[in-house]
Amino acid sequence: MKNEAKNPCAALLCVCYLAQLTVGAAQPFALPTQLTIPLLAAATLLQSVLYHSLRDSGAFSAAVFPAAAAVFFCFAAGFDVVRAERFYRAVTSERFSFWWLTVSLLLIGWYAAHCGRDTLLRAAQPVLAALLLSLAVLAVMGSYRPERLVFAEWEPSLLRSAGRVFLEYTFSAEVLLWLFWKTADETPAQREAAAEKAGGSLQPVRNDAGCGPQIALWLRFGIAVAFVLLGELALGRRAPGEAQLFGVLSLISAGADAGRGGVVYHCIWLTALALRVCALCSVLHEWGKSRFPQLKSAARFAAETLPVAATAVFWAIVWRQSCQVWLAAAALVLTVGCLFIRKREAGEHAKKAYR
Amino acid sequence: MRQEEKLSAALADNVQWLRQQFMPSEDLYIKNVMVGGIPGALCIFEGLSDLEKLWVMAGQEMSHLPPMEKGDAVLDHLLTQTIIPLDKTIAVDKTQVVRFLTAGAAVLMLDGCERVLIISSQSQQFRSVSEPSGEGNLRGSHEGFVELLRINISLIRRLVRSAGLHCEIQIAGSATRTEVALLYHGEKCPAALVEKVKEELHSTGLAMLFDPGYLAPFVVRTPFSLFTPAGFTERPDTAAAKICEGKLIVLVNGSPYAMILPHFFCEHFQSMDDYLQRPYFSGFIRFLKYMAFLASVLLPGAFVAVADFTPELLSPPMLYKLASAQMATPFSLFFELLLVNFLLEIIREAGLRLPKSIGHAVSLVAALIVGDAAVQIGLLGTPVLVICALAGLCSYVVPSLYEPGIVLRLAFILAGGIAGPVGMAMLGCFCLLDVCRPSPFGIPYTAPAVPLSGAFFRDGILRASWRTLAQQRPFTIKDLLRRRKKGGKNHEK
Repeated sequence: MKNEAKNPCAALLCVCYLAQLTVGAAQPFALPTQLTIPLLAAATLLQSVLYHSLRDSGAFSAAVFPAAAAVFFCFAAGFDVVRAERFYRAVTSERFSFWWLTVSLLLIGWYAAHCGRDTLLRAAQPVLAALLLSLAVLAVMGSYRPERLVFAEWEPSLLRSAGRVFLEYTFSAEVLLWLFWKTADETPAQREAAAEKAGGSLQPVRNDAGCGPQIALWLRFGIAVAFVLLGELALGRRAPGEAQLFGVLSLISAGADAGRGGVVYHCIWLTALALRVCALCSVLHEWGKSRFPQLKSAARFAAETLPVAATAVFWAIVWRQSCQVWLAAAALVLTVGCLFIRKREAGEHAKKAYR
Repeated sequence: MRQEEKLSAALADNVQWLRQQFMPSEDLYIKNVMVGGIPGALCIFEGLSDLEKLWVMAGQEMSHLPPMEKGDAVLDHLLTQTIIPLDKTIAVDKTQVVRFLTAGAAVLMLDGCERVLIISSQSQQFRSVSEPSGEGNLRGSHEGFVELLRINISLIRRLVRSAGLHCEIQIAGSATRTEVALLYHGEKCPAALVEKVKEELHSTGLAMLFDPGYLAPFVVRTPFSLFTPAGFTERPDTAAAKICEGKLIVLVNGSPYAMILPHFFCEHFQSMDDYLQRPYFSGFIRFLKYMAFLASVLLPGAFVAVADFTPELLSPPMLYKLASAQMATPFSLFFELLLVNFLLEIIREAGLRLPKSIGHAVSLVAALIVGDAAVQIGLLGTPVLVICALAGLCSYVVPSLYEPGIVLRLAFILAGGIAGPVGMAMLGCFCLLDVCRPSPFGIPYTAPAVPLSGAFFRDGILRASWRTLAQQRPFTIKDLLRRRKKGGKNHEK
């Protein structure tokens, strides 16, 4: 496990995984969520091994990481769509709410896939800022009111509450994606080439924070964690379930200033949700392009719409929660199997070297 | 490159060619003259060149020239021994002759000479330099660009008097052969940017060119995008400031507008007055502008989304008033909002294209009909009118964003009316992606806000005092690129 030790993020996820298992043992009923977390941890281990072993071959940047990230990112996006659809149905009484939402999200996702990753990362920054700002406004306006306490499940110990939120519900796949997206899957030369290819005589300003990639990476990690942590703290830590939906609806019906602020927050949250789906489409689109580079002009449209169509099918699967469990389990088995094979190969190599 | 057709040594051939070229142009004036004993022809376009000025400047000198043997000798003598105001170029091919003639210069052709002399006798009528119509300010310069390219260049040159200001003239438009000037600071503007714009300029394939707006889609290739990273100004001081920030200014002969490349989103909210007032007030005004833009785009959509889907958000008195107003009108709130917005745009267009005296009457009639009579007869509700009027008013605060603003406003009304808050959020996400799209110049259109840098707080949403700006300048193109290079080096390490 030497490679994993080199990667601090992988080590961090290992710790989270162990903690998650400990917490999860006490809550066996939350099976889908509990499965997602170890899956992510395993994926991180796998990506670390693959990253170090395939770094020189260039195959990693082309296909492996985007594909792995896309698969696991689907879970978070799927949950988001389900939640948004429930909210939409509740406020509009629309009969075809699922299809309306799916079509609009697909359109936006397709557009995001066209615009590319840089656009998406840039778009995410003001959304995060707005989200945090609205949360601050919420806190000032009345997050300590009794009706909010019910849904936030506020506990005396902030640290304990935050820790539980972090471990149980919010360490979702987008954190992983945010963490490794721009730094691990491209070499500097590839980044430069992509910048050139993107058009324009000037090279794009690639480093978002204006600092080195390591700091930028940790900064992004911090932002992502703060984003999910504060979000769940404000509107209830039962984010994946229906509690948040009812919480928001009750905020709306409360008609107070805090309720109006909550709605503003929820609109921004919906935008963030759409961006997550866009990220999914974008990653799938890039994966498709790297997998089928021979597809030019005529087939390009098909290659670009294929990931979007695949996403739609996936949402339909996510709609049935039981399918997600089986998918997660299958992916977990596959991941562990890959790890085992890789470890065995590494052992054989070591034996040969010894001889 | 195409080989240009050379002039003939025979005067008769050259004159015949010129007549054929412009036949049947009545404004082409060709006068046969004898200069130093050599037969010649003086050619001008009436109206572009002044005969009287030409005679005063060159006639006297040429008529008193001693006899010479060859046309070339006469030409060299006029070039070096006289004080006739000549152009620095001696035309040797037919394209150059046409170009100088149509620019208002006089052309002197001599028999036996394959070169022609260009005399600067331009005398073109132009509008005087006056206050720009769309970018007025309280303090500072009140000068605006005019339609003549050379005047516009001189207006900028007068403000940026350092040697670093470069001015390159290009020709674009196959039919109009319009002069296009590229102005930039040699040290501050990246050479790659200039080269890219020049390349695009040569490959446009445009037949006609009357405004920098024609060039924008070629230089800034962002199809289907609502926002474009090319800005326009009619103020020389704004253009000069942008040059000092390392940007490129494109001027086109015949247009009083300058194109700024690249242009960032936050620059729509800046004006020259911001830099002349106290920083706290400038910051306040900029904040107001951002809020006004958001209100102009989002307010009607948010209103219809809240009123139709989540009316609980409205306070009871407001809800009752809204309900009573809606009960009195035959249309739904959604349709009313769309209708009023369309009407406002129709009124604006009608008032804009008509003569001013009639335009005022149109506004008056429209205000009376839409604002009063429509409410009186119960066709429209008062809350809808108030919301639309507010949004319309806000849209005039940032005039450069009027076009995307009005389209987005209608789109948000549709999204809010059909899908409520979810539709608003989805469209908001789409707009965000659109505004964050990669810029063809490499630097994001949303810089320096996204990616966030200190410059955003120095000269973005706020404006720091000049004491601060003198030390930490407002962001320049070079600064942004330097940051990128630094980041790149770190990454390579």
